[in-house]
Amino acid sequence: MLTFILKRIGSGLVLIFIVTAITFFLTFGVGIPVAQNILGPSASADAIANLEAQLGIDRPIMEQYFSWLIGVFHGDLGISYFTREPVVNALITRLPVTMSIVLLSCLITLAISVVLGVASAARGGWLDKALQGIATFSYVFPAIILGIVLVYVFAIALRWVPAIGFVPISKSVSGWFASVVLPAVVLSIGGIASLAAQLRGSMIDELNSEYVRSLRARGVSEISILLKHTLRNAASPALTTFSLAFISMFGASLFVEKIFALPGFGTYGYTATIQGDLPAMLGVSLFSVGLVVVVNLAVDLANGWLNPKVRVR
Amino acid sequence: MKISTHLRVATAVVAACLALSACSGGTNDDTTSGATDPVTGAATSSAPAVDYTLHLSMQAPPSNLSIGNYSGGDTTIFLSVYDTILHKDLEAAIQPGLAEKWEYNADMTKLTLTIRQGIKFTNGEALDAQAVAASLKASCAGSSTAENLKSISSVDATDASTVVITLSKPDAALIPLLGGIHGAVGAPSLLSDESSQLKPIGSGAYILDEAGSTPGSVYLLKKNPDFYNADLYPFATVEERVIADNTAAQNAVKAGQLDYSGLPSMDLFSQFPAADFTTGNNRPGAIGILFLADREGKVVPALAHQEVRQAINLAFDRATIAAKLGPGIMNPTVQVVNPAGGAWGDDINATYNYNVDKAKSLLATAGFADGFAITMPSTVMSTQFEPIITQSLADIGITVTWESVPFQDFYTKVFGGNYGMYFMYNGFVGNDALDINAVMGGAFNPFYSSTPELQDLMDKANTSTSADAFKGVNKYLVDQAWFAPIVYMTPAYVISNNVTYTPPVITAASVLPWAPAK
Repeated sequence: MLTFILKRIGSGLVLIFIVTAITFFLTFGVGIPVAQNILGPSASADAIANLEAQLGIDRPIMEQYFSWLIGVFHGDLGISYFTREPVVNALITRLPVTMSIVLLSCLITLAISVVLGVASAARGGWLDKALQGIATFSYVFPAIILGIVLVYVFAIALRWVPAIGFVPISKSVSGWFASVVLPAVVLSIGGIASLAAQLRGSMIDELNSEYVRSLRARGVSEISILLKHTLRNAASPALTTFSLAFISMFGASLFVEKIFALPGFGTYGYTATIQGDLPAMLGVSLFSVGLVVVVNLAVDLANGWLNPKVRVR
Repeated sequence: MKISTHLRVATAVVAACLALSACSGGTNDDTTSGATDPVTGAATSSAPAVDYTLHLSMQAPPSNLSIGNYSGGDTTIFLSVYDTILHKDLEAAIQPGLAEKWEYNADMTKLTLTIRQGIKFTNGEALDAQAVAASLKASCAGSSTAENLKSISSVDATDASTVVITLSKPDAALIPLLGGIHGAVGAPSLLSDESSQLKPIGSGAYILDEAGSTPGSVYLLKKNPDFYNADLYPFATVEERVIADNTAAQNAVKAGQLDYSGLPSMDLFSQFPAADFTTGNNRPGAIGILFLADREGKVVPALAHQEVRQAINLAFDRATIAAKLGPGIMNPTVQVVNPAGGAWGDDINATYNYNVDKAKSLLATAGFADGFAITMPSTVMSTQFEPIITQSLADIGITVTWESVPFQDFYTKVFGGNYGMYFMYNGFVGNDALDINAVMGGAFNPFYSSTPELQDLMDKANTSTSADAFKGVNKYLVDQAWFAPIVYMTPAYVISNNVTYTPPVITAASVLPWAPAK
């Protein structure tokens, strides 16, 4: 198991290296006029050249790349060209925002999709059809519309929650919850549908298997069969779907961050990309790839815990 | 102006237009210290600070906050923390600032500033003439400010209260510049300290509260109790959030979280009931211009002909365009200057009334009776106007091909002289000299067009203290058809019933326009 983990970490590091290198050279190759963008359209050629020298973007590409890479090993991801904020600091302040909505969204997704999936598989009939209908509707319903509706109803009309902004959990737990609950609901819509469908299918397969018949023959209660035996076995493929949903939620967080004006990771990455803020873009790439590697590793470990058959020796 | 500002649609550009400076140069030796009315500059009576947090928003986070490196956009944070050598009221008229008096010599090449005494920076350092000179020198070398201050040849603190600025040639833009980011004064010990890029220390009306701020997302300003003009700033605290999406900002106003938002259309007024909100229009903030940049015909030979450029101007039915594209917000213009300034002329605005027949005749005179073809860059800024430009020019025989250009590449392509003509917005900065300088530099003048006549007019304007000093320059530019301006914008806004708002000549410059509701 340890070898497996080390191998996965090693391949993850290689992946991170490759993706950040591609990001760097592609961005550099496009030749985004950073200094011109900072100074505006009226800037003279001299002013642009001076700022390029000041930012160090007049240096050869390899020198810039290795300078950044060396910084990474020292925990320094550079300084934003535009705001002059250290990228590490920016990520540290923005990650709690995005992780708050993504993690709460995961909880909502898990809770609802497990209920929908298990109930559909166990009951069948009209309940299955109704729950499938709900799942399908949530899958096709545009999340952005839902976001706008929720803002209007709960933030503007009822004023139960804020329309914009983020409250750190350290400042106020209730304030934090109010600031992230609507974004989390919006973000979870698509994930609920796919996870519930996956779980329902796996549960039906498990419920039709021979060991369930044996359990029933031994008089084990249906609740125990559902929650203790079949759900655990059905969870393995669902976990993979969930991990994909988690990563896609992380990416989709940009949209909810825009609707709710949340100063999160997605907004930071989007702005950096639009501006050509290379240090910020690289920081976002580095973290995003790292997150994918960590999530995949966690899913592998969780699968091993759930199902001893898939454990790697 | 930062790219993020430019990436907005027209109304957003207006809302975030540069906040630099205003008013003409000249002398003022009868000014006094003390609180002055933000609109008129008249002395006001003292008023207590209001324990209400003014909630504002900006579309992009502030850039480098150190002296000389702030690149514009919304200057509320910058100009709240840093006091400036001169002040500008809401009419963009120059008022005393850190300099109580300012006076030019006879040939307008030496400006003597008398610095207010007894002022301290918020970190306790003394603010004297040496400190003012140090900041001005930093601005003269700063990446964002050096370009506009290149007429300054030296800055000397001759005693504790006197700064003498020597110019290589008269520059009408200098006085208004000293009332904006170029005239900001920061703590001398931190001028070259990297910490000032995020944690500026000045002597302005507010102090940036580090604990309550998150760089890039929320900025909290707390009133500086020692500020000499504190009465002009009634709010005890000001919170400014970065909200890139205008719909989110509107929602925040509706939900009571923001006190002000720009609106992209007057149609949205109906969403804000008069009982809870006040809506209105800002002053002219930006202008949509077809830059006829290739005035020597290097890329598009036809543009070298004045008649062709005039024909292009005659091809636009500006009144109809304004009424259809932005009723109540867009206004027809053929001038690149601010209608609120002295260079503007109502008579000049009638120079190119819509006349297709006359346009065709001018094209024929120039030898282009059959018209010609031209390629223009298509960006997020031009898409709204592209069908109208295409149709209007087609009506006089000019065929336009739009070439899609990512906005990130726009400046490079334009600066590289790839296009003879292109559409772009420019934000008014509250001063004729600066507005004209802006459209004649950088990516707005990629072929470095200039003529002896224009230079002569510029030289005369720079040595004049008259309010309409640049009218001659403006008229020359219009007659020569250097540009084909189409519309200027008076963007709509909404405020909460917690505050009042006086539309300023320069938007997004400071917190002066807002006051608590009675």
